[in-house]
Amino acid sequence: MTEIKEALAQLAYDSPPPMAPAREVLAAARRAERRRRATMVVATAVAVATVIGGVAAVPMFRESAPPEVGATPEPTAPSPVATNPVTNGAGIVAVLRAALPSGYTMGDETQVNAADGTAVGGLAGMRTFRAGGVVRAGDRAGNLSASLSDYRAVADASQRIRQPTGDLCAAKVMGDATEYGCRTVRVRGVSVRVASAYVYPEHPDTMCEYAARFVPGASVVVIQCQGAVLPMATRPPALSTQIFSPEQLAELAADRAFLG
Amino acid sequence: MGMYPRDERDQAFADYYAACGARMRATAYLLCGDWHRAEDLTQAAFIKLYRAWRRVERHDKLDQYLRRVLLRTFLDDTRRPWRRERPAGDDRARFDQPVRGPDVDSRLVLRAALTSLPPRQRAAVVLRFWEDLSIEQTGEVLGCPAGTVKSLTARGLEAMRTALGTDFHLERQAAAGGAP
Repeated sequence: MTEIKEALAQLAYDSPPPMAPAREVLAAARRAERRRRATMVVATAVAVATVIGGVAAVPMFRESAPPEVGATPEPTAPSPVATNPVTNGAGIVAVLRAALPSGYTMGDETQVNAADGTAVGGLAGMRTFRAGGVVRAGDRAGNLSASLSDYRAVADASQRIRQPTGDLCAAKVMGDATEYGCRTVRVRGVSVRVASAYVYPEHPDTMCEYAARFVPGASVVVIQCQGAVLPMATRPPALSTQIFSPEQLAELAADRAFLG
Repeated sequence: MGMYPRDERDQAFADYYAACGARMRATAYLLCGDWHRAEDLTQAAFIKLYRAWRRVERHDKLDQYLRRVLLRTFLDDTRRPWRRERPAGDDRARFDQPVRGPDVDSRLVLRAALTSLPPRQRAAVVLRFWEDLSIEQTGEVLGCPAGTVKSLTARGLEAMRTALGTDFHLERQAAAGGAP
């Protein structure tokens, strides 16, 4: 036991990078709190307007479809890892590049992010293939990537992400207090969950939009960010709008090239 | 209930971060194995703590509360691996210490063994042997009964021992100047 304790201590204290100063963390916490309060105020206003109007007049915060009782089950895809044609970084990037609207380019810096494989620190047995990178439009840049995950080999059942049924925006599915604008978009009979979130709450230009599609034992998530996910010192100005509309992003997530 | 000026409250929060931020980040690093992600997890945990600061700042189990927030943040993060975009080239920053000598080798072996554990087993081992929490305290943080903590820890240790093997102990002894 002493051996394990000493080894953990050695690992934890060996040359850690400098800590963020307290004032930065405090400033980030204040900003996050301000954003949370602003969101709550707007959400309350929407709820009040909805009640007063008697209709879902401004369904901007939660447009998810009701549970689809008896809906046609989505096609069962094979494992994205075993048989899918885009189980490598280059394949995923090719699909993303082909989908880019004119005026947008995905540069070579994409490649360094490609072919993630089994993530360190992730779930034992889970395999994720992830690729994408910086998308440029003139002197501005954002980010576009996709993750294909296979949970079937995860040994601990409690750690698996379950195939969601019904309301894809339900908190129990993938709930996160920092996500908002969640809704379900139907693409060719397939339900895709689209939600927004900050990748780094302390950096407002890392606002991203996630389109997630689930199949038994696997998922594909396409992520677009207005700001480039690059170190702050080298980050160009963020794109003025997201690359895709939520519907287009959902369409991309539903691309059969990703999951069967 | 925290009814004093915001500046003082914020100062108390900043002082608390200065006092225990490094330790929490080290815990986060042992949980996730990546200093950058550990930094993000720690910041996220402190941001959540700030939200509840008025309520909890004088709580006698504040550290325990923060550990629980950190752990939940970590576990949520591992359940949603796509939630985190990584800066380009960030893979190089993972466990990015230069490799030199047997001591570093043993760290690499240990790190690999630790990250091979399922998240809750890893958390149990880190909380018990790094944070020095009792079984009951670990159960509070993990939100499970003592029996589950025991079994998670035992399985985690067993898996680590298997993964570490004899070489690890020999290298540790060599690094400590002992006979191999």
